[in-house]
Amino acid sequence: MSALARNRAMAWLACVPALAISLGLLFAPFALSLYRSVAPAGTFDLSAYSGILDSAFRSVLSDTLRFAALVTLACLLLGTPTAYALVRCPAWARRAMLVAMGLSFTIGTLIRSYAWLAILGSRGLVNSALHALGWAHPVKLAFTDGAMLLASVQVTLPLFILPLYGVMQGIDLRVPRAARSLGADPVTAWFTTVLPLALPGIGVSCALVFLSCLGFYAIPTLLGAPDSYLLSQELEVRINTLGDDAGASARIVVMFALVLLSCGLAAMLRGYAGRARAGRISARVMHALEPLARAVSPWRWVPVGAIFAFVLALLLVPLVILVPLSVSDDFYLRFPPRGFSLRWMETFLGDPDLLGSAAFTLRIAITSAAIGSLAGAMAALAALRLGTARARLVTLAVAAPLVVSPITVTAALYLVALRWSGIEPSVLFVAVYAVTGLPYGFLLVGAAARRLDPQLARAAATLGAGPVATARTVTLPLLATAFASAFVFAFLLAVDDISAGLFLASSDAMPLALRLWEDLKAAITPLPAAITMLAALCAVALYALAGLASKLRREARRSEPRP
Amino acid sequence: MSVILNRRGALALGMSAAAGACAPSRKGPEVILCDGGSFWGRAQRRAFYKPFEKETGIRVRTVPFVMPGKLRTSIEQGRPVIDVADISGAELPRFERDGLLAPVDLRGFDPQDIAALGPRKPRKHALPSFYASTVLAYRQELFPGREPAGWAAMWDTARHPGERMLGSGLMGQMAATFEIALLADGVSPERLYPLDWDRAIRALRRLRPSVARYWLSSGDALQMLNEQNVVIGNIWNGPVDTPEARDAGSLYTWNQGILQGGYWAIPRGAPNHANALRFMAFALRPDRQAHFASLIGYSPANQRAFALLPPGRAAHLPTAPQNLSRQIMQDDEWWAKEDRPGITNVALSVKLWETGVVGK
Repeated sequence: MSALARNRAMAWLACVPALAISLGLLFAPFALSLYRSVAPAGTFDLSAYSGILDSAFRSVLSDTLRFAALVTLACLLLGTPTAYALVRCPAWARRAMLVAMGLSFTIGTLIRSYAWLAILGSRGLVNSALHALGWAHPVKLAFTDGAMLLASVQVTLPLFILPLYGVMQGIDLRVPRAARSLGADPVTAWFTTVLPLALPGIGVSCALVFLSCLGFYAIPTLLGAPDSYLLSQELEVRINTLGDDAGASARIVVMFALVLLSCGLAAMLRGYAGRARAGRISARVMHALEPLARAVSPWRWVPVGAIFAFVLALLLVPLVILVPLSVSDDFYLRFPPRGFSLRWMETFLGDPDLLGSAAFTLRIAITSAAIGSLAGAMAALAALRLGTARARLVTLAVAAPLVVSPITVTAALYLVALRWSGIEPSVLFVAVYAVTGLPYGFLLVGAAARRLDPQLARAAATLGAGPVATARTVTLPLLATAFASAFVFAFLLAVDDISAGLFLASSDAMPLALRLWEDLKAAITPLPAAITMLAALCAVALYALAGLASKLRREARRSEPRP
Repeated sequence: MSVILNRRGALALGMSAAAGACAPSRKGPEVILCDGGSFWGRAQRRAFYKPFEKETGIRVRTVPFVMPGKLRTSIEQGRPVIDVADISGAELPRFERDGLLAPVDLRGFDPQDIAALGPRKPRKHALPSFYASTVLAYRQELFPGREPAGWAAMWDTARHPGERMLGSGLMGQMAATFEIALLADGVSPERLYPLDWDRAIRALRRLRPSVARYWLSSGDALQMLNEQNVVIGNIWNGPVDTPEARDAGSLYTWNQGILQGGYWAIPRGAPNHANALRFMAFALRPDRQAHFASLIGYSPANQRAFALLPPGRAAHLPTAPQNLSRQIMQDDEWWAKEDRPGITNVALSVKLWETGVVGK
């Protein structure tokens, strides 16, 4: 076997875990869903699909698409200026925004939706302020389309801004400067140079937001208007209430097809609206609007600054409000709390069920994040050594879970798992979150590996290091940060998700998020805020300890006698 | 086939190894029961679960209320998620027909308790557990000094303005949503069944603009009423018959309440079958039944419990004679029927709700 062939064989071998997870736990269940939707009783039968046509599915689908489109539009209008401002703004503002986004990721979707209830509810922040100002009756803010939209935008904004910020950082700012030196006003220069260059990134961000909205469950259920009824809710009723396997399978197939279609459409759009074409179109439009652009140019930072400040406030307010709520003395959620007490924290620490659920969540989240991000990272490193076409295939297979919502992944796996009795529910949880964590390892470690300077490995080789030593001392330490962030993303996703628990939960396997969800459905209490605050305190303590440990290690190393 | 099994086995083995740390350690006898959450859950824990643990040493573990589809799937899968399932009378016949429940072995029960079960009688695969009523609840200022006569008041948005709440039809018959709509529309209680779907949906659509929330849990519903987000709506009588509700100014009437009976059943293949039987015999004892009915306004299934209730407590329970006559019994047999081939009236109601009420 030649060295090249051996190299390639090794690369394929490294892809095996990721491909096994993706093909075995994502694509195979989808294929079986397809089979079961057209042959529910073993013979060919399309009644599940004709059932879809008779049902509310079409209106549910169009409502969901409209909702996802609205959220995406709002993210586009708010997120694009914010991402650009992040590149140009003073360091303190950048730091504030990045911290706000990091915290948002950490706190998770469920708790942030809950925080919106504390803001918009009849005894929430807004209504108690209005009451203080003399309003007699609470204004209806929660349980409306507006509340659902606001919470969804808040939840998805970091998802939109972070990748786009990376793209914006990569744009050479000398290009718009060149445009201005040729006589363009700043607004025209931005629209004709920066915007077309950022367009692919904007497209990716839009796709991410749009696709993740298709799977939203907690926000519409908790905050939506009475008649809001979205895809995930309809799917959940099929499985948990009606036990309609064929109908659920057909819906899973339709949702999967929808995701594929959206991805295909996005790729087509990208091919059509290339940077050059976008630049030309934008130039033509800006030419027509030139007097206007020139007139508003001196004020251009006002709307951008306002949007930046609004986004920052939008991200921070639901997080800040958790602090007073966590030490509330009230039985129900109200704002401001009427007294200080640690009773909700004590409730958590004194309840074996809640603590057991917390331990279970930690176990499955750590196991699945380790499996998912490790398999993803291995595939990413291997894909660099495969040809372009093969690498693209691997990317398609391994990154696919990023665009399929966890509820669809779980539903497909759950309906398949019915046929395998004897599998522990905790194993199914780990399977689901290994699938959803896979793309993070693959994409983040892959990106870091591509940025890696190949000279470093070569330098190590010339100094006599073998491939293993090179990997151990040069390559892997440089990739450690990317791997750690992939692990954290996968972990947080698993901690936050409730959709898998909706189907898989049992008394042995009850994630904390699902227990909180059941509690929230019954009564809106300060408990989730108290648990979040305890978790945050633990995280801060761990972080401080880690910092202290590394400082001590550095000092110890410094004081070591040099050879 | 053997190849497939081997692969499955290998996969299962690999995944188990991967998640080895996840399997919780089991020690000692246990039984898995439902925690209905909120007021119901509190009463279950205090009247049944804690005393049962204390008396038998069997550890009670809980899961949130299991919806029928999930229950059915888990039994078919061979891994029932619960040892004693709460099943409504409307779902029960289909579970029995499909052989999903284990017959109840009455040898461990006190024959006097079994004889005293009523008004519903024990079945081969299930025993009655308790009775609840879906009642009309309202803000006290809406009907000063008198009780509304029935559901028509809820639909009368001109005379009683304000926002409404209604149990979601996604729960099928559980919140009696469709019965209520028909009664409000003027159908007489004697001619309620079979339900006139078209008329019910029309009535529900008429109310829709005034509805602030279609609730899915009674805790949520009570909070809506107590915090004055809504002025009137349906709710199970247990949560609204509490000091919290009265202090907040939320009242209810028995008039035209829909009386509903629940059952306990042991799924076929339940992990702790013997303990489940022991629990049912324990929880049907008059003292436990009376304790439960004194904590929440749900009637005991064992009529011997009435003698043990504190004085005056019976007035808060739906099957007390003076209340019984004001209510309408939900027709389980009709709800369980398949008026259209292959689909029970329960499942049909969910689909009609989806297309007729929440669909835009």
